[in-house]
Amino acid sequence: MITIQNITKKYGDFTAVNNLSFNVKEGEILCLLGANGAGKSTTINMLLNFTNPSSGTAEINGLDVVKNPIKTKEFLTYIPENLMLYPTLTAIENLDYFTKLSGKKFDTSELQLYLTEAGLQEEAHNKRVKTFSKGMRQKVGIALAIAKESKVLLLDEPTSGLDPKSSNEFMELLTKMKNEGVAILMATHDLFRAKEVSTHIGIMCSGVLENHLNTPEVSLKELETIYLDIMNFKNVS
Amino acid sequence: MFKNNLKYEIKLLIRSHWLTILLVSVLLLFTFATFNGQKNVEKRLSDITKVENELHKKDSVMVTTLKKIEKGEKIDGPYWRLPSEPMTIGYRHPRLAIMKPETFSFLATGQSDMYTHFKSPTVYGNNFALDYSEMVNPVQLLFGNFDLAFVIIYILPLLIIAFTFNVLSKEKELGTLRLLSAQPISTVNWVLQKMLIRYIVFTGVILLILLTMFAVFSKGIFSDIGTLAGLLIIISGYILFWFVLSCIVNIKLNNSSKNALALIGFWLLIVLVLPATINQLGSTLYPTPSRLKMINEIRLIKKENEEKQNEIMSEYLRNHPELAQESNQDKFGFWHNYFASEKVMEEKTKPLLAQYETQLRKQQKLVSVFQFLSPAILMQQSLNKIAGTSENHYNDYKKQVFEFSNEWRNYLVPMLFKQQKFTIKNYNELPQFSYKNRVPNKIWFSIGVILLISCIIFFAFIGGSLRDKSVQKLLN
Repeated sequence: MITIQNITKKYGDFTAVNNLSFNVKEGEILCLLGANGAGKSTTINMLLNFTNPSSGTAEINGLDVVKNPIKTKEFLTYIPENLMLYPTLTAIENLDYFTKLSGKKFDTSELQLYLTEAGLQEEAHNKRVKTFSKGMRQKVGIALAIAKESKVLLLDEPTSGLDPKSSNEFMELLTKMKNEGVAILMATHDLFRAKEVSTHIGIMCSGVLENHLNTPEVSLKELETIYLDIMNFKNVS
Repeated sequence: MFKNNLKYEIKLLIRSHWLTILLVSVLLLFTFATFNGQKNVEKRLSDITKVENELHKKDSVMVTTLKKIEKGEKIDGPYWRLPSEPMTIGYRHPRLAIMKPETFSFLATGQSDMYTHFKSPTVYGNNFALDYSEMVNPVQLLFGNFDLAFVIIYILPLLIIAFTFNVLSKEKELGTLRLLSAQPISTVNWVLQKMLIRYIVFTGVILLILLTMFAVFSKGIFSDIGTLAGLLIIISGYILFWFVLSCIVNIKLNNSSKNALALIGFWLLIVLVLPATINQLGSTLYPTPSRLKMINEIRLIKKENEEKQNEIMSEYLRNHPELAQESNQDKFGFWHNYFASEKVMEEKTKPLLAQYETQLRKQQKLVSVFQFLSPAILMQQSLNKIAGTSENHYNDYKKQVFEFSNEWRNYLVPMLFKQQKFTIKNYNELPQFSYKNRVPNKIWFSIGVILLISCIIFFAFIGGSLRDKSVQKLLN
C-alpha cells in the first residue's frame, strides 16, 4: 500500500530525509519513532505531496504521489497532530463536507453511524466543533477514514496532547482499522503506544532510518534500549 | 464539489455573521446614497420649475402688453422696454434652454453640481460661453458627492477586500488547509470555487439591494430595461475585477496581513493615486491658458471695436447685403452696431477660445485614454454617462445652447435691421429649446473593457496555478 524507495529530501544544504526506503502493507502499522527533526513528518508530507522528494519515489496503492497527487489522495486519510475542522460547523456537517470533497455521499444516518463507529458520543454529533476537545476532533478524522474506506492512514503524532483515556481509545480504533486491512503509517514519539499498536517500528535519526524492527520480536524494554542507543550514538558522533 | 462548497460556504458565511454584516452595511450605504442622489435630482428639478414659472409669469405680462400694443393702446415706459421691439424680446425675454435630469441621474452626481442646467441665451453676447469654459480639473470633475456611484466605486471595493482578503490564508491559519489539501481535489480549484461562491453571494446581495432601492426611490428606471441591464452588468463586472485581484493576492501571498495590506495598496493605487496622477499629467502636458488673461483680451478687442465702429458697420453691411437693402441706416443705433461688431469679436476671440477648448479637450482625452489603466475611472465615466451627468453631456448641452442661441438671434436680428415689430404671431413662432441626450453611453463597450481587464490579469497571474495540481505553494 505504501512504498517508499530511496527517498531523499533536501532543503538547500540540509538533508531532512536521507535515502529512506520502507513498505507498509495492508493490515500493517508502521510507527516511525524519532526525535524532533528526525524526518518523520517530512516523510508523511512527501506521501501527501505537500512537498516533493529531491530524489527517490513514494507510492500509495501503486501510484506515484508526485505524478498522481490527486488520485493517490482518494486512497488515504491524513490525521495531523492537531486536526482542525471548521469550528462553526457540527461534527456531522464537517464529516459531510470532507466526505463529499472525497467524492462520497452519505445521508445523515450513515454519517452518524461512522461517527459512532469512530467513538464519538451521539450527543456530540450535532454540536459545533468549536466546543470539541482534541480527542473528539481526532475521532471525526477517524470517522472520515472509515467513511472514505481509506486504504491508507497517515498519522502525524496523533496522540500527543491526548489524555490517557482518549489515547487508549484512539489506539483501539487504529487496531480495529489495521484488522480491517488498512495500511497505517504513524509518526510518534511515544514508544509505549508504538509497541502496543504497531506491527513494525522504524527508528529515524537525522533523516536516516537507523533501525527497522518487527514489533512482536522486541520487548518494550529492548525497544527503549535500541532507541536510546541510536539517539545517544548519534548525539555523541 | 461546487454544490458541496456552495452549501457549506453559505452556511459558514451565515454562521460567521458575515452575510448579516454585509446586508446591513450595503443596505445603509445604498439607502443613504440613493436618497442623496434623488435629493440632488429633486433640487435640480425644483430649480428648473422655479425658472420655468418665472418665465411663464414674465411671458404672460409680455403677451398682455403685446395685445394692448396691437389694439393700439398706449403703453407707458421707454420704447426700448416695449415687447414690440425685437431686441427687447431678444434681450429681456430669452427662452429657457433647459437640461432636464435623465431617468438615471440620481445614480451619479457627476458634473451636475458644477454646471448649470438652465441657460437663457439672449441676443446680447455669448457671455454664457465663458461660464462653460470654467477651468476645471478633468479628474475632479469625474468624482462627485456621496451618491451611488461613489459607494459603488470607492466603498464596494473596500467591502470586497474585507470579504475576501483571507479566503485562503484563514484556512492556512486555522489549520483546515492541511486537511483540505489531503483530499483528492485541486486546492487551487477549491479556492477559486470558494471565491466564485463569494462573488455570487456578494453580487447577488448588491444587485438585490440596488433593485430594491430603485423600486423604492426611482421606479421610472424599470422602463429602460436595456440601460438597467447594462448598469447591473457593469456593476457585476466591476465587482468581478476586485474579486479577481483579491483571488490573485490570496493565491500569490497567502498571508492574511500581507493580503490585506496588498489589497488596500491596490485600492489606493486604482481609485486614488492613478486618477490623481493622470490628472496631474493632463495639466502638465496640456496646461490651459489663464482665464483672467482671456477675459482681459476680450475686453481689449471690444474696446478696439468700439473705436472702429463705422468701419466695422460698413464691412458688416457689405457682408449682409440683404440687411443693407431693407435698412434705414440713419436709424442705426446701439443694437445695429453691436451685431456688426459681434461678428468681428467672434472672429478675433475664436483663436483664444479655441486654444482654451483644445487644451481642455486634450486633458479630457488623456483621461479617457488612461481610463483603461484604472477600472475606477472607467466605472465613474460609465456611471456618469448612464446618469447623463458626464463631461460629454455638459459639453453637448453647451453645444446645443450655442446652436439655439444662433437660432434665436437669426430669428430676431433680421427683424431689427428690417425695422419690423414683434407681434403675438412672432411670439407663437419663437424658437424653443429642447435638450436631446445625444451622447451614447457605450455601456457595453465599458463592460467589455472591464471584463477583458479582469480576464487578462486573472490568466496572467494565476493561469499557471490552474495547471499546477500540487498544493505545495499554497501550504508554504
